[in-house]
Amino acid sequence: MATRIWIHVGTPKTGTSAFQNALFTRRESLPAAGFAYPGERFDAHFLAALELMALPWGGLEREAVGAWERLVDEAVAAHHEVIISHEIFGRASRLQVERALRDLGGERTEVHIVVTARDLARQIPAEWQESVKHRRTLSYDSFLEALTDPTRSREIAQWFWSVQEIPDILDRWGSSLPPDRVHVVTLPAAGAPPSLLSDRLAGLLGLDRALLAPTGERANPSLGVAESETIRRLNELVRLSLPNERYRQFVREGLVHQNLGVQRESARLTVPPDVHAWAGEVSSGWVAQLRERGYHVVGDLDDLLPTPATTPFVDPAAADPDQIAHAALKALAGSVGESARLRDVEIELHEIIDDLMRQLDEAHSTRIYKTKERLVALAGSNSLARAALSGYRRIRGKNSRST
Amino acid sequence: MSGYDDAVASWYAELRAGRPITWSAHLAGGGRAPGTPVRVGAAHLEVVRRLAEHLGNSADFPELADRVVSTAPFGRGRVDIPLPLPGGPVPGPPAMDPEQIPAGELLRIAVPVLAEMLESGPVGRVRPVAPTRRPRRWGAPRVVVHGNPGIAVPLRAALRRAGVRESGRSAIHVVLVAPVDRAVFGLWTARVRRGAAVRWRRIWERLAQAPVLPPAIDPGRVLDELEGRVRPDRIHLVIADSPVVAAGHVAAYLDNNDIWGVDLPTWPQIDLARRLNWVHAARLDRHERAINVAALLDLLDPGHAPGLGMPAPPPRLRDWALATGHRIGGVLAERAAAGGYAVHGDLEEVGRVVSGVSARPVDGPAATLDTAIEAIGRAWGRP
Repeated sequence: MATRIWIHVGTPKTGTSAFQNALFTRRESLPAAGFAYPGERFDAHFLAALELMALPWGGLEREAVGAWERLVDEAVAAHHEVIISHEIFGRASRLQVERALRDLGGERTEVHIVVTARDLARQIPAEWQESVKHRRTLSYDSFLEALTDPTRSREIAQWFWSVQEIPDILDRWGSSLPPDRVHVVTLPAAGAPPSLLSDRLAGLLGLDRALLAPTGERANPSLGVAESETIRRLNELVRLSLPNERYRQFVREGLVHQNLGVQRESARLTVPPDVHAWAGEVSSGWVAQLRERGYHVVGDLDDLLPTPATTPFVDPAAADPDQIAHAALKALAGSVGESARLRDVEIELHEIIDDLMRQLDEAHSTRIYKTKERLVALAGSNSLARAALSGYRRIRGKNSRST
Repeated sequence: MSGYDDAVASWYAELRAGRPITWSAHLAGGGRAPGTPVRVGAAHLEVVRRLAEHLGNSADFPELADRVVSTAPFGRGRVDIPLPLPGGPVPGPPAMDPEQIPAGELLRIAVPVLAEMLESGPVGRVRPVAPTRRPRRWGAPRVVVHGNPGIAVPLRAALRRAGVRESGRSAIHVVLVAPVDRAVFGLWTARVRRGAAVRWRRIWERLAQAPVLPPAIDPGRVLDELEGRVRPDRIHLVIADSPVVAAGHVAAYLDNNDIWGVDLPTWPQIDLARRLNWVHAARLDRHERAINVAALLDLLDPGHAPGLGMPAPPPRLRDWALATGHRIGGVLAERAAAGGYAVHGDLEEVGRVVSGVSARPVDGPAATLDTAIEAIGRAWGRP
């Protein structure tokens, strides 16, 4: 029987981080359950996706060289069912999908495509927050305008639709596969038990639910309105001064994940009523198309229709100034704490350097070393000493570390 | 295959044969000749069409066309733009007439095609060779060049070609001075030639943020280093916005007609080179990228772009550019008078922004796309 390779291609903001984290954390236990999650590092699938799709990503693309081939080699050599998962795979063009299916397909393997999907009215604010966490400065209003523009001329809209337009993603990834190998797993409406998605995924894969239970690590928290707007404004201020790798470390990880995102203190971001209505129309069209194509659905396609809003819309641009100030102070407190911690690390490193310098000085204070130094100095003024030193160096060779 | 797929395959068959017919003309002509299906969108096919327009008669054009439609686009942008045809794919990105696709989208395909040609084709194997030098003349004056690397590096090459040595205690010191926008262009050129992928706008933003301007932009910093070390009568301020002008001044002063400079690349050539560096950034180190840029610029005629003009500062930084140029020009005039340095050219030029403050910063990527199509054509045609 052919080995099944499950490629989970998105969509972003559908619990993908929790799914990937559960698989990576428990990758040692997976073979016993008949599965493999390839990759030595947590972001191996992300790097493979970057390489497959020739996507620059703030310098990370350099680490991605060879990542796709490594993932493929490991996947096709596995003796178990293989899970490959990253939400940006959804953006692959037909040419890139063709390559992926060619590389992973074969007589021994049977490729399945999985998409986890959530209703558009929840995806839109989540994607804006994600863009803010990736140092974008676009206001929510402009973001919504770009998304609803039918020409999709702005880059942010092109990205959003390339990873969120479920029928198009499935057309690119699934058009050469039988519909029963294309799986749509829907996220339940707000208020459903949080474990329902992992239960649905576990059911689809035939995996013990416990193996997909959330681990709590590397969560991708959602921010409130005030916190999101605070980070967006911060992005404007650090746009030119903070390199990408430092932004990732201090803003995304330090401020968002470890600080502001730990507990949401302001209103949840939603969409305004007109966008909600528009999202409903778009989603209805999608649901109709998905039904027509006959894909395997886990859950209910009606889950993709936005439910009526339960909380009033708060525009981030008009967020309560006190809440913005509170979020900014909280961020400042976190940054000061981190600065103090790094200062301690710096002091510790200086102590190590001082100790090494002391050891070096001791080594240089020996009689032999001082004699050598005097002879080298003499060679600067004395031709005989210069010739002798030159001869010595010739005999010694070029690679010696000594004088 | 669907009717849509048939129509696309049929158009591609025309293009592949080297006939640069547009999509709309193809449809209007009722073209339905059978063709091989292609799994790409309108942008790929439009690149093929533009190449067919450029070198459609080439016997091996089908091979080039196949190469284009099998090259994945680089970076972010639209995914597989559908062609406008009733019954075309829905949903997905909105369909676009291929002729209306923004040049930036087409460059996402053209640049990787070019990158692959430079890297693995015969062009990439051509390595820059050192220029032939004239024998050094005994007793001839020596020249040390300082300042903007975009102009200094080709000027040094011109001097070497003419047998002028760049060293020695008795050398004259040429300090290159250019209007601020030309100086920034020279700096951008030099960085891209060395393998950087920095954008024109970004280089301005960095300069405007920098606490101190680099000597490439502010020649006063070169004078800081020379004054007290070099006799004032050996310091020459050469006002030049290109290696040709700089070499002309030096040739006139030394009375040496063997000194001639090669023009700077045009901004679309540099913009194309920086995009090439971006595509190569993940896999090639800076040195290898520089070699590929040299190979690319070797394919193209430097400075050959009538009516192209110079790129102007980004609109947001025009006031900064004007103020900076004015300040640098004023300070240099004072220092030249106080130090008694020889001045070649008009120092008042330095305080101006030559490209004009109303000009657009870089005229969109359309000119870069034309350059890319020309470069692919030349690389493909080169034995």
